[in-house]
Amino acid sequence: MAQNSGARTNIEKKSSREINQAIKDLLKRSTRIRISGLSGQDNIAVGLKGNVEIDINGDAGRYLGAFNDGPVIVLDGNCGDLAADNQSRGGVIVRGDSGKNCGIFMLGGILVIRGNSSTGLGKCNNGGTIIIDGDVYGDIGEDMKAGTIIVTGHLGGSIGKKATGGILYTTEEPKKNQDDSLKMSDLSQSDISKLKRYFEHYRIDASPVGFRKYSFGKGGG
Amino acid sequence: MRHRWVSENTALERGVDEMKHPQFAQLDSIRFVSSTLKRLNHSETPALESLTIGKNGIEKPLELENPFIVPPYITRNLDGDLFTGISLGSCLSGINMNLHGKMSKDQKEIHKIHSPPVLYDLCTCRKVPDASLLMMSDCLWLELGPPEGDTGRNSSKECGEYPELEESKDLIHFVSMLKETRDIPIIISIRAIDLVNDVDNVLVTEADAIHIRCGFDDDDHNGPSFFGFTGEPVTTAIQMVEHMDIFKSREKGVKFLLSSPFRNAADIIKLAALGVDGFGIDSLLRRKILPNENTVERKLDWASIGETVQISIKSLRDEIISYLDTLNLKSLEQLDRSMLVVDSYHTAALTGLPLAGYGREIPFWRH
Repeated sequence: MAQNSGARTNIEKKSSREINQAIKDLLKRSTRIRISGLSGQDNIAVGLKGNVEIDINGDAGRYLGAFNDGPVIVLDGNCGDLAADNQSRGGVIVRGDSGKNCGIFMLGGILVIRGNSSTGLGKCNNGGTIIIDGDVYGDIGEDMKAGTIIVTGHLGGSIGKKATGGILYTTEEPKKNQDDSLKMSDLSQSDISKLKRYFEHYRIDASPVGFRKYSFGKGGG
Repeated sequence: MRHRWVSENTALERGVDEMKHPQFAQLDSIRFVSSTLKRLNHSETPALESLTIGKNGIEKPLELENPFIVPPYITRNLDGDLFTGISLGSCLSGINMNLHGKMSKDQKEIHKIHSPPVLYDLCTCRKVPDASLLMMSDCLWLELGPPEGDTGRNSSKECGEYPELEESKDLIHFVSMLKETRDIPIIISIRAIDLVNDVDNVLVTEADAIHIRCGFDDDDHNGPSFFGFTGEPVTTAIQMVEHMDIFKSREKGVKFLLSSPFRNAADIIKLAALGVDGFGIDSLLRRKILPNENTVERKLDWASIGETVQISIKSLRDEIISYLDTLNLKSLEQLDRSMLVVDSYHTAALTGLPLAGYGREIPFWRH
């Protein structure tokens, strides 16, 4: 019974440690939990494992879902810096804006920001997928080695500085790098279906039409 | 074993040139006060206590059988790269290595042969901890230093290659996040040269131990150099640490570890009296693992290295016990700053120890 309806709790004015403990306790009872009342606490839902879903209501501070290894964390609010840092599996979905350095060192999984994001997006990404349904104010994909970044809005800074791999899908033409490591190409059929799948699944109001594919580094993605 | 003063031929096997290296001048001028040296009748042999790293309340503290630690960077030069996830704990059975992902056949073999009584997985990271390693590690070693390719001497970025650490104060959040992720002991390793700038930030983190590297040539950024040593004198690090109120932190359970090219047990005893909890025996192991530069290229016989290291650690341990015995002490914990005096103004000024014959701290040293 609890499995279907999900366990809930209100964590207003609690510390990060207390909230994380509450999440762990709830996850023992249910695979789908909902917490509400988050007000900017750091390090929420870090280092969690398993195929569970965590719905959070409120604004998160730094390191939301860092070292995530399986859970899908849905935040109904804005998040601070470094969301999904070092995520290896699962997903972090933010229904709001995010701070800087989000999705850095991702090894896998997905980060969806349904708003704007700041600089340092996908830095050192090593296989994760990042979707920004909004604008990015700053650098994207610095030192990236693998993975995918999709931006539906405007690009604000340098793209793929020192990157050796990875792919960027965007409608806007990015600024050229000094080392000219960006290679533009039109979307293939598989790219189109991939983008369609992402947009439908995450209910993003966009179409693959107009998107272009930019590969970083010598071999691209 | 009693009344045996440590000679130059110690477990650490220092040459005469190194024994007289200027960086040790300050340590040489530190003496034990005469009252400490009076022998009393006792029958108990001193014992070297274990070292526990991990503040109160931590789920699984790191318990080392000896107060010796083996910093992970010791292995960096072996293949020119840092082994991620290397586990090095020092105990009576020698050096314990457990390399995740990169463990070679020989290393697995040594692991099997010298099956250690205490084995700790030490997740090391100079850049960023790998998620899988962090999850399986028993301890996290955060090594702070200048970014790669930067000597750091003129750099404003002391926090190394962690992209999260754009400013020194970010370290607090970073460590707090790691603690939330896994409640394991965290050791922050910092160069003595960076102490002045960074120690305030390091102290307010939730780290369980602070490791200070000093006296090594740290310019190559592959960790301290294997050969030769330069840099800050050992006591300068101690003096800086004291200035930065690290001892206040120690009261909260933070351990103070120091890696330096110690020459003999006497150095270790004096530093223990100054407040050091654990000693990095990098220097000893370097000599055993890589006696000269040519060895770097050579295929290493891990089994024989393990045996040699095991013997060396035991020998060093015996040497310290012997020294404690001459001081009529039962353990390193009984050592105290009040047992020390110095015979030079310079060292008195640096360490805050009283000058021999003067009877008290020299009045101008803080100015």
